[in-house]
Amino acid sequence: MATTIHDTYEMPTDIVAIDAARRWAEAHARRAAVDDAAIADLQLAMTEALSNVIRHSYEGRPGEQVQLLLDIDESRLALGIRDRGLPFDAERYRPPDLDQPADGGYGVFLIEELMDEVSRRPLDDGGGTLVELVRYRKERP
Amino acid sequence: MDYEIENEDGVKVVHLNGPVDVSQAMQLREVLGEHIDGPGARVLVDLSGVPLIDSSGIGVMVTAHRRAAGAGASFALAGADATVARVFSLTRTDKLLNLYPEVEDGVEALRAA
Repeated sequence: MATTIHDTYEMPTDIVAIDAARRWAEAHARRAAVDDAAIADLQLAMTEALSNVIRHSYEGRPGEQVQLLLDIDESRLALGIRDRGLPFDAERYRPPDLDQPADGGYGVFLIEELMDEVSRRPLDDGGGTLVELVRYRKERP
Repeated sequence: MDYEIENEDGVKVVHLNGPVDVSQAMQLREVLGEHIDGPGARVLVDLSGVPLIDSSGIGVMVTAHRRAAGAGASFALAGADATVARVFSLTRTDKLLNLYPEVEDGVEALRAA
């Protein structure tokens, strides 16, 4: 029977802490025999999402906590990122112009390219957002 | 991420080791800026020890490329594995940046620049 994983992880709002969170997710994914391409996609997408949470939702404010929820089963990897900061402002978001290489602005674009499903929903219990990143365990085309 | 700089036939090769993400971007921008220091400077970033690059890392490379172009210097990247190369490809920054499969290819190209 395929290994299923369910684990949670707390990290501080510090960009240096993203590396340890990536390693936590990778260790679980390897234990569940997830392929390298799916692990790499999840690691990059979570890096971008956590970077956005720390820099934008919390406006770089240290001393707060972000909760990660990882679920891996035989069909998919799902990572939830729960924060208590400001919500993502979808109306202000502009996708990058790929014909004009830029020195920034690719974070949300990469998350959406790398993941099969991305959802953001407000948390009722005291504010904040739950971002969910889902990557199916299929071969990359 | 840590780094080491070697001079190979007049080309400064910046060997990066570890993930290049938002926590490293500022330091890397400064390091590359110091070495892209004027006309004739030749700087090659060796990505063969880099397992992950994020949008901040991509931004650093685009800035370095433009700085080099503005200063009359040469800048290139080499040795990206498939995972890292895919990020340049998805963002289409591979159309702007000079990317070589191997470090030796990059050194040779910059020597001839």
